[in-house]
Amino acid sequence: MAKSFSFNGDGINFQSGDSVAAALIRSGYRALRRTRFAGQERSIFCGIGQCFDCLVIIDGKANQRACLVPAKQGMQVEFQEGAGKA
Amino acid sequence: MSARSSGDSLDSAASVNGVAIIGAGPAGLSALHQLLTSSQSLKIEMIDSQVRIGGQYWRHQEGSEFPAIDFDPRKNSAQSHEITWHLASTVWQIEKLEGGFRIHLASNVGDVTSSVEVEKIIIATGASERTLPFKNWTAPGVMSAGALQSLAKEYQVIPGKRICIVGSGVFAMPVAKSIKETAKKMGTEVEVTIIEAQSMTRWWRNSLAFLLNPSKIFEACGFLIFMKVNGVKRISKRMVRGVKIEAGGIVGLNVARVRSDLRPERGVEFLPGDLVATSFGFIPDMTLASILGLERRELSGDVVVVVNANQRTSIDGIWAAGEITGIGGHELAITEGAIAARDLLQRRSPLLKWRRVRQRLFTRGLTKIYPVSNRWVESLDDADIVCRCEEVTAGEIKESAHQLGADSARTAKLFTRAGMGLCQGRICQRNVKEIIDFVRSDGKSASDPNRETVRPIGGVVTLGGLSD
Amino acid sequence: MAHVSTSAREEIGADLVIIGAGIVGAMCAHYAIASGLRTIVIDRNSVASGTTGAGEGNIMVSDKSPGPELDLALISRELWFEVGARVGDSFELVAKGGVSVARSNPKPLHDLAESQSRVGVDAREVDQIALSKLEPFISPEIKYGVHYPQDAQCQPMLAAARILQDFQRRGGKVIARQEVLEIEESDGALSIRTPDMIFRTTHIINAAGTWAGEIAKRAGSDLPIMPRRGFILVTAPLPQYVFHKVYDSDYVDNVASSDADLQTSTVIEGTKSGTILIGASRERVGYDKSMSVPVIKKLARQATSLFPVLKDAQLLRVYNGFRPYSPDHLPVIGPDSKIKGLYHCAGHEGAGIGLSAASGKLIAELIQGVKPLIDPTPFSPARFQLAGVR
Repeated sequence: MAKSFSFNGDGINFQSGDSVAAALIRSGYRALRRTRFAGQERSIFCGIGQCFDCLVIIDGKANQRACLVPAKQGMQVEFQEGAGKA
Repeated sequence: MSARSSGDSLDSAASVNGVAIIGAGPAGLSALHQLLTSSQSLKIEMIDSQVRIGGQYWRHQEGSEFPAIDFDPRKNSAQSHEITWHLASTVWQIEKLEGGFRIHLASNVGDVTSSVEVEKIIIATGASERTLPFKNWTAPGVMSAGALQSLAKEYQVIPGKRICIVGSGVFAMPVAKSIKETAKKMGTEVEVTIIEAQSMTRWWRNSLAFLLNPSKIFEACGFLIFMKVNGVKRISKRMVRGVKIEAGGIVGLNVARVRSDLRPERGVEFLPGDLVATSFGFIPDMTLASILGLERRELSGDVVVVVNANQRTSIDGIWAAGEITGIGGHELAITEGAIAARDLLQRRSPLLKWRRVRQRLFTRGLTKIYPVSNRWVESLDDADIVCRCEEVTAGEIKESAHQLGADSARTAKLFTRAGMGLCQGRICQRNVKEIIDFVRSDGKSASDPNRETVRPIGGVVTLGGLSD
Repeated sequence: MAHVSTSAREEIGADLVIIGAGIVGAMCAHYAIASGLRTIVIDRNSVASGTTGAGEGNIMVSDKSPGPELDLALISRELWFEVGARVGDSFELVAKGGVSVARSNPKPLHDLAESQSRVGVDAREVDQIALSKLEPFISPEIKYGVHYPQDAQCQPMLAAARILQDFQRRGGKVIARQEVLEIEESDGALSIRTPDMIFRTTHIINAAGTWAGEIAKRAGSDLPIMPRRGFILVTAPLPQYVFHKVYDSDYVDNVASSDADLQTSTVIEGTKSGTILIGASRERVGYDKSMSVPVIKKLARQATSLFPVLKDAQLLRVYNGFRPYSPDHLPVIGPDSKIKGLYHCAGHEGAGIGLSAASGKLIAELIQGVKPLIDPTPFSPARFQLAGVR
């Protein structure tokens, strides 16, 4: 059985060893968040946790780097608007 | 290596109470490899921010064979040593103690903290890729060449159908190779084009360095043949001016002809593509070096740690190896890591030192082939974003120099917020510095290698993580 | 000093040279140029590179007990908004208001607020319900506070830079990277020697912040200004969780204390960019720039206990700055007792941003010899220089 987590409610299959970003990009997603000033979409950029562009909300916590966090079964991942929800 | 001399030295090294190696890339793993040959039992803390060891160069898929068998610690860890692995851990602070150091660690999410105390540190934090800003470089589908390589090599993901790798330097070739290999394995088609700012003929300038490092000739030929056979296109003397985006996403990029100092000429050409990767060399990661207060200097535009012939830094008990002492690639990093660890064990390394001379000569040659002069600033429009985190434009940074007296990346940051965001200038600081230097043609730039790279908090740590 | 080549130095004449391009120097320049003095500002580094560049930008009246400093602060706050109007809305000046809270015993805070009200501070007591309207994310354990609508904030680096930009438009000059090597007085004229320049002037304002004591020494005088280290934690950008400057009432006690040991009590506030600033620790450790993990942890603990929602906030960086303080915690504003033409304007400790406007105006008035906006006696350098206090 394929392992999966959710991204804004959509089921995302992942392989063992995947980061959240890798699984999302494999599934055809690109934009992961929107910036807080200009509202620009952003995605993975440096891929090694240095640039903080691939920020998503994971299980309610904002500002998580999708390129670093290993994908886990049942995780709730959300697109991050600005600095996250108050 | 002489058995007698190493045996002699071990007794005098008996006082080593704990060694931390920060960074499990080529330099760090090479240092570990040497430490494990010590007959005295050592307590070693191995620290890396990534989930898997290997650093940038030895990226590999989970569960697959480690790409450098000689340096695979799982293969050769002697029982007599106590190695503690701290992976997916960032060092957010290091305190100096009486006769040692306390290293403060945090999980990558930053909510769990811990600390270890050691007597000696080998710091090998490596480098991250340098990227230059251009129009729409913040759009999803534009990424560093390293991110593209990691997707292909580590996760078997090919994120586009027509991939353009733009920039300068040798790194584009192994990235193109990784993509093609992964695509072949997955049975998918992918088009790869390398757009290089410099001319291919510049390689002749480095012939001496090549002759001293003959393995590099084979490596280069291997790449060229691979690219020919696999249909990787190469375009030289062009630099990206911007990415073109339509409703469905990226459709291609505009490139301009550039001179060797990266000054753009008039007119642009359009190249189709749906994913753009970019790479203009590497920047040493000086975050922990500056937290420790190691003496730093400028070397071909980079800020690097000052080390002596034995890789010792300005602080007693700390050695530095690999990219943070000067960008030089994985082979030089392996050599330096070994010299550092051997010096820690009070062993001599005459042969390794000769190898280091040869390898440094080669990398110095490479910097001559792929120089990045600050004339790239001329390609930038005022509306282009330079600081991705705080969304600061080139125009705002230039204004801070013209109007407010900013004369370094540090002062420009205070006025514009460029470099003040989540990444703390890891991506933009060097570019901001070069914009300021370029704008202040009066030569009154005040960049100071011992002040510019200061990031007081080394990695992500949450207030909750600190409160426990 | 190994400098022999005096002949190569460029000579510049002026009526007034201000040493220090921080906020205090900028405000002195602002008022001096308005009075028609040919004014030059010099700095050993660049604009706002000292204490000004390592602070929150507090313009506060709430943290001061009745007395000369509070009188100065009340005037200064009004002047700040005048300067803001003159220079244009370009440095995030906003009267966001402060909320001081008492964790346990409300009496000292209540008494302070009452005494402040009597001298013109707008101080409004709030209970838990009113508090939760002002600060919806504050810990429900906090039951009493005082709301100070006058407390304001600015972005101090931008403020100094914009005020100096305006100053230059009006004919003033700013020259960076001029470390003062020596100040000489002869026949009522003063000269300042730097590695590559000589400034000839009739007046000097020493606005060098923590270095003001050293400047006084290089002029042949003395001034007891010492550094007091402080850390401010800065979080990643967050949604708006903190709406005012919120601080523990024991912060007020710490400000007035001379204890060298570490003192921390939380001051938390949001900024326009979304980050949250958490101050303020005070330690007398000289110019020790090293980071202190216990201080960082203590500040983090205090912040999360005041605002539990900050538990997941990432710590982005730490400002490590030095506040210039004088033995009696009052700024030193006025003429030097020994050197004619030399004025001091320093020692504002953590209140330099807020007090800068009135301090600058006062100095300009003292130089011109017009009636000052406030009685300058409590701030006079003579209180140390003549008493021999070090």
